[in-house]
Amino acid sequence: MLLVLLEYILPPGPLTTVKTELTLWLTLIGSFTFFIAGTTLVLKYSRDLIRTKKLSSVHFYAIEFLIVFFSYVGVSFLTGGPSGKTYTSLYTNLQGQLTQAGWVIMAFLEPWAAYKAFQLRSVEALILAITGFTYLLFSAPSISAAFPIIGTFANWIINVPSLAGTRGATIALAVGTILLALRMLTARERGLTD
Amino acid sequence: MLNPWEVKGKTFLEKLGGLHWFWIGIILCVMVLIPTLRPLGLPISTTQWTVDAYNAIKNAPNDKVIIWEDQWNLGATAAAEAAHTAVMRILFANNKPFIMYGEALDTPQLQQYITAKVLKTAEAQGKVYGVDWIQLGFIAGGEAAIVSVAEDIRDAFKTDYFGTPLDQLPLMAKIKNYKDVGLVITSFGSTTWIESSVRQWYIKYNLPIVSYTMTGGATVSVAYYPNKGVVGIIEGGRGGAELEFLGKVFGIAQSQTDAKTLSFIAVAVMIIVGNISYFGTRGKKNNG
Repeated sequence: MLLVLLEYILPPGPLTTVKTELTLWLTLIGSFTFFIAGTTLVLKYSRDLIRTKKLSSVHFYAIEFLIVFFSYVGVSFLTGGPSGKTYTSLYTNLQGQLTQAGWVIMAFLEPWAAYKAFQLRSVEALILAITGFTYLLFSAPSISAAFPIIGTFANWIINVPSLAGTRGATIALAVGTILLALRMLTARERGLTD
Repeated sequence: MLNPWEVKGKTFLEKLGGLHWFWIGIILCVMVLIPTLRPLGLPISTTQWTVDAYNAIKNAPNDKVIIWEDQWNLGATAAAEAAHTAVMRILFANNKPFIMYGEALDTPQLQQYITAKVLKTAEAQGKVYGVDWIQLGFIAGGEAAIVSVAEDIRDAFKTDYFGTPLDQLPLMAKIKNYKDVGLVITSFGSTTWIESSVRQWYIKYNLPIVSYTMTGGATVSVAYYPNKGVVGIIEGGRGGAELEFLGKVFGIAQSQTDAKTLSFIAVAVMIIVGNISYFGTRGKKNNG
């Protein structure tokens, strides 16, 4: 942390090279975590299946994972990697549609949540309802085209209370992160598990 | 409440308050389906931040490259397709060379899907991969990835998404690091990602950023707009519709806009109905 802070303050020099190299390591570590995640899941699910005496629903998830995992790996190796046509087509038409379906299910639940959450049960709910209702109408382009006053009010909400809240949260987060980092560096932060 | 046919309450207002989520979803589906099948051509308004985003792309320096860092994934195609397509078509129409890479695992697949569609449009005719645009694949590491790309793009990527060494692509001759970048387009969902982009591209190198995001991300981006790094904001499907209108690159956003308008009106009506039910039954509950 000190190195990054010093490099930020000082003009470009040897520290910059060190920081650049360390940053590159960070992206490598980031990439490697995906490899570890995949390997861990394969090992865990394989072990679960080998050791089990009676199949349960959990094992079906394991079988499903292993089939999908090795299918994707196989297609990738045999058909020219992830940028190949077969892999892309498989990914787009299967994975893409399934993840979109997940979002579509939310389309049923979110309006119902609005139906319940925007009931004016308290002052806070009143503020939430007014801002949410205005932003909802503003987000529908044709409504704000027909009633420009909605756009004006929505812009005020975004540029004044929302902006103030966001900046406040950002500053609080930054100060909090520095404090947490200092506590960790001085061994005062014990973490959640201790 | 698992059974959608089960209606709770005795009076009409009580029954209204206990409406099953399934029926609300059905109303919404119908509202989305009508304009999808038959676009209504409802008018749209443009916001200043989208106009600014459009102008920033259009006026990006011709001797520099535009970097498009992307966090959208395939699951968000419905929300991303209109604006992704419009951004790419506007870049092609204005002869702005760009390099895109992904920061989510399946962003490259989304980019390929969009590129395939855009290549069929008039703006893409005559454009050559490697000269007018490059697709670099996925890079892990979040904010650290931006640092690597900004400091030396060849350290971050050795090949493009298709495995071609970067030095074999003519556009790469124009770029080494942040000094060769004219504009950054950063696309992400409803997160606070814009803060990383502002820290790494604007605060360090004073590069302008177009934030292409969803509603939650737009409210965070606005903290840096218009003169603290973010020079324009494209807000999801709505932003896509506005971009289509501004850049005259008409596509799917019009029918999406109609669907959005109708469904949002439906949700607004539901909020009012929910409150009528709440206030209509509140007094009764208090008395009872």
